[in-house]
Amino acid sequence: MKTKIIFLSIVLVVISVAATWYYIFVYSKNNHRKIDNEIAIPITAVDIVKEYETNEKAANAKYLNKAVQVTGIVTAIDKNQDGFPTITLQSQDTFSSVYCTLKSIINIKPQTTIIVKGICIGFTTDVKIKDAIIIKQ
Amino acid sequence: MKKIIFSTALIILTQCTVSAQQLLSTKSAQVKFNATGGIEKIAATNNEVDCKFLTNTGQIVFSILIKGFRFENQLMEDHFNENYLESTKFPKSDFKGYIRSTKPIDYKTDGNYEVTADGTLTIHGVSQKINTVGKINITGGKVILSSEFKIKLKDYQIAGLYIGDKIAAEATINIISKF
Repeated sequence: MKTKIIFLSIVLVVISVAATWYYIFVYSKNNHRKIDNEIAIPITAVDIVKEYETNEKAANAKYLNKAVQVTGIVTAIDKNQDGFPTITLQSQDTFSSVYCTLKSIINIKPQTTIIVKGICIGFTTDVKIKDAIIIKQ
Repeated sequence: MKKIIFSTALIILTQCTVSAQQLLSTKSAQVKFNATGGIEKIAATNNEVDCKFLTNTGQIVFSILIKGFRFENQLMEDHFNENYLESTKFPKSDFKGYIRSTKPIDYKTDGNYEVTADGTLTIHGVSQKINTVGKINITGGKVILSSEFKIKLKDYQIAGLYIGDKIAAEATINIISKF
């Protein structure tokens, strides 16, 4: 009976250690945050820029690290240094915009209205969105 | 009278274009850091860094959103944001300073320059004066700034739960800014 308990507890310890190890080093490496199924906050590029310019702190409380779904007119398409596509969405302020980094290459034309979904990472002179996907173009 | 107004307007206009040409800016500068202490790699890349650089004065500003750092490991990214950099409380990091060169830099001709930069680096709500070396490369009218330097985590009061052997006391920062 006693050996059985000892044996069982050893097995349990081994399993939990293995599970923790798997979660930290394997699962977390292969499973990044996916926003595809997250419910996003819908907003226009014009409005989110306005909100950030009016009160950055309040806007951060509302949008930072959240999934947002932004509608706007594409003014520029580019690539970042790691080769990921980036798009700029127009706001009412010439010096500010919504700058999105997309997950994969897409075929978008400038001056068209699109909807992108991504994670809001904050505001520099632009509102920045990372890991974005195209919802509608 | 009209002539005066016209010429004043012309002077103002030309001055505007001159100063516009001297301002370089990008929204996609790259900042990498590496704080590997043990076997597990602790490194991340941010490709959404704002950089503005005035070539005539050397004045430079970097603006970095902490949540823009991507790790290979999601759990590491979460710990980095929640425990170490507290990026909800301090979403931004920035560097404001000047780039100095002993030789005058000719931005119209291809070339390489060794430069120094000094200024204030703010991370995790803590500002520190720093000095570093870097390079300016000019190829076909395109300007590229690059620099590599080290920072001590404790200078910026970065102390998560597990700081120890796994995370190096110093982090190496790599910056490449292409205009």
